[in-house]
Amino acid sequence: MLKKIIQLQRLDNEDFVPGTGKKYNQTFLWGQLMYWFKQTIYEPNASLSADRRGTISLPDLESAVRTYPEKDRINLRKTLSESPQKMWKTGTIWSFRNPNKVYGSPWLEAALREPFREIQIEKDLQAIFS
Amino acid sequence: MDKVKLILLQQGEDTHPPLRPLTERERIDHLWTGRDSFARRFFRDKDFSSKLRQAVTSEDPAVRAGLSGVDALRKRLEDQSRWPASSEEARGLLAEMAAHLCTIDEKRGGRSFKSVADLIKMTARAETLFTLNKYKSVVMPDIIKKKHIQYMDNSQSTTSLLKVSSEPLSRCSLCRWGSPDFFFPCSKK
Repeated sequence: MLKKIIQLQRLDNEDFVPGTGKKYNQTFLWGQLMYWFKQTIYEPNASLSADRRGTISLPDLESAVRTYPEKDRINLRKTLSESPQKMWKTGTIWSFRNPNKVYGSPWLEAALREPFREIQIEKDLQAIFS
Repeated sequence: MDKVKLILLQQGEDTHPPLRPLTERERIDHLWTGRDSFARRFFRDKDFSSKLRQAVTSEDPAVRAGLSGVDALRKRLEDQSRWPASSEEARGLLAEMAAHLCTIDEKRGGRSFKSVADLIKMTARAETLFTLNKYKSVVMPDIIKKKHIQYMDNSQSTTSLLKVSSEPLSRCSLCRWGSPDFFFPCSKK
C-alpha cells in the first residue's frame, strides 16, 4: 500500500482524471462481508440496506402513525410465518430510516437461538399479532 | 477479501468489526431512557398524542384504565428515579405499553394503535441489539495515465464502442430540413 502511495505522489497532476474514484462508505464493509459470494456487486451496502428491511431492522416508530389496513397486517404475518428471512414488502406503511442505527428483531433472535435450524417464530408471531 | 483489507488498511489502528452488540446501558437508553429512545419518540409524537386525546372521550372503564396505564408509563419516563435498571425491565415496560394500547383499540372498536402496538411488541421481543462501528469513508483515486487514455483513443475497441462508422453517410435532401439528423445516433445511416 505504501509503495502504491509513493507511486501516486510521483505522478503529475495531468496524469489524474478527477471524479472517477470509487467511494467506500461506512457500511461498505458490512455489505461486502454479507455479499462475499456476489463478486460483481458494485455497492453491496445498497443491497444490504434493502435486505435488512424488517429482517434485522425494525420499522420506524413514526411510520406506525399511518392507517394500517388489516390486509397489510395479515400479509405481513403470513410473510413472516413463511419466510422470516425475507425483506419486508415495499408499498406498505412502514419506513426503515432507523435514525439510531440500532438493529435487532424477534426473527433475528430466533435465528441466533437456533443458528443451524429453520427459524421458529410462531410463538413470537402469536404474541405480536394477537 | 481484498476490498475488506483495503478499507481496513485505511482505518489506521482503529479496526473494529463492522458491527458490535449494544451494552446493557445502551440497550436501556435505546428503549427507554435515551434522548431519542423508543418510548420518548412515542410520547413526543404529536399524532400519537392526538389519538390518545381522542380516546379520552370514551366512558368505557377498560379504555379509561388503558389510558391511565399509558399515562402512568409517561410519568415513569419523566421520573428519573423510576427508570428501569435493566434492558429486560425496559422491554417489560414496552410490552405493558403495547397491552394498554391494544385494550384502548379493542374497547373502542378502532384501529388507531394497531400498527404501533405491533411494532412495540416486536421491539420488546428483540433482546439482542447491535449497532455499527463507524469506519472512515475511503475514496480511491482511480488513476488513468494519459498514455492509457491515448491508447484507448486510438484503439479499435474505442471506435467500435462509439459506433463511429468509417463510411461516409448518405443523406437525402429532406435531412437538411431542420437538420433532423442531429438527433440520430452517429452510427445511423
